[in-house]
Amino acid sequence: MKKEETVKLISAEGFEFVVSKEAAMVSQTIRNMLTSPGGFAEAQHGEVTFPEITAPILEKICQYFYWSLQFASGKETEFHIEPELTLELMMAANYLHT
Amino acid sequence: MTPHLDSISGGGDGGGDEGIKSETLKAMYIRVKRNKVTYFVQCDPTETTLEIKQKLQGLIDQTSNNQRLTLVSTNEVLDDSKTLADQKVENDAIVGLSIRKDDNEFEEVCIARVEDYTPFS
Repeated sequence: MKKEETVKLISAEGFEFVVSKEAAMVSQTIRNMLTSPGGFAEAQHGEVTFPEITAPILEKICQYFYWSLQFASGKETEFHIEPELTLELMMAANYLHT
Repeated sequence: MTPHLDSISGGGDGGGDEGIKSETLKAMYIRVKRNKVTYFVQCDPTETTLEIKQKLQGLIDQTSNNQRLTLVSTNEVLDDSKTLADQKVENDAIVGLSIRKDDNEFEEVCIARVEDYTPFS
């Protein structure tokens, strides 16, 4: 894997999640940040900080990105969400257009 | 009015892309963790531990012989020559990464916990 092909997503507590750009672009918001022609600073450094998203939620979102790619390619498994995460996860998903 | 245009500009939203991307798409991913960093690594069950380390090499600037991977659920150190399937490393598994220290020993597996960093306490 090359660094240029990945993005680092940083949570409120400073936890870092390194995922492939392909996976991150499951999120329309991140896709826009990485591909808009004006160039967000995020796109150049390959880092996006989410001061409002906590690490467990951000990790769940990254898991969802990969699950979504697997699902799109025909592997039909369930995506498990712990009940205590649902509310925060929904708010984050709304923000990320995921 | 011009429905044929939709098919040209409308793509790129998940579903229709698999034909192009199937080459990069792997059967599973693992979560490689060290301190506060998690690397999501796409892989196949038939890949060896060494192949995973070679993928990590591009991200962390440490050669494969300076890396040690430990399956967190069983606390077993993964063997370079064995495949992930052999060692029961499954989709979404968490693997701890340790780096060789200056004294040639590997550091302990250390994965930061969120509870220690919560900004709302």
